[in-house]
Amino acid sequence: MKIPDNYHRFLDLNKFHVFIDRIFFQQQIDIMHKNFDAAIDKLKIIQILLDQHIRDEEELLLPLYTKFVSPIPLGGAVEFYIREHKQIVRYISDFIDKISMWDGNTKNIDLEIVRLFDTYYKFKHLVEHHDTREDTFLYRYLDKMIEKKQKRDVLNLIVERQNRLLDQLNGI
Amino acid sequence: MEYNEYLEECRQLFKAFEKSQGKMLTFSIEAAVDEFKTETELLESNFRKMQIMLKNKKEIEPKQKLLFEKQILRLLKFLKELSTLLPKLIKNPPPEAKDIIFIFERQHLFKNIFKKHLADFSKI
Repeated sequence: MKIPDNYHRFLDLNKFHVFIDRIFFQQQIDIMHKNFDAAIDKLKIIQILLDQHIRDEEELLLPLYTKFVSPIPLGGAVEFYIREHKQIVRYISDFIDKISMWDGNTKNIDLEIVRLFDTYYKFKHLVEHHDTREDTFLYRYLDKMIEKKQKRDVLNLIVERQNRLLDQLNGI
Repeated sequence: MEYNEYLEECRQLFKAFEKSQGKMLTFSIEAAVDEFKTETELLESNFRKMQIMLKNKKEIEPKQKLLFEKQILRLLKFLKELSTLLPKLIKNPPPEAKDIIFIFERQHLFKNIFKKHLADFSKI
């Protein structure tokens, strides 16, 4: 597993979104094959990666966005990003809790999975909406407003923080 | 057919629909597709009966009638889409998990409209 690390502009952070989407999709396939332990492992990896990504955005990007982007575009309000981050984190944690309760003896497991996939759809829809918001406003506006050196410094810091996660991820 | 009867049949068909979705998880796709075919026919016939019945019901407000008609049309459209998609799964066996996931997502949308339709209808 190789976390994307070649970020030259803020829009390149979309690569991270695609990376997470791919792990999530692999996890859906695990669920279809009733390989619940593998699915939980992948969800835990997503949880760690997302947690860091959200911290990067809230600690590094949003303060810059508030400082340099004025007026804040309609649809790009800071509270929207924060609210959606909370919802996304909550969904992942609920998925882990739910799947952790399943084993070979779970009653009506097929129906449970069908219902889980219904919730997955809602989650994926939220993530898609959120990623589009970040692509359209947060990343694009930061790319326009932040000067080259500062941009490079922030993106390097993001990669550094990502690399610190590798130990945690290898433990899963 | 009366409203209650329609609602009850729809609820039963909804349950059966989800049950056949579960069958897809066992990867016995042919059986699942067969079951869906029957489900689809029953659902379609139920919706069409209600379409005809709605035309003659004077006690339902025109605005509400229009809403039900629109919902039924969307449901029928979805059923048509699903009955085209599902047989494709058995054309090139074994289907890939991603194809099944895609169908699950289309079925989720169908179920959402279906649930909304039942909730609106039960208010009559």
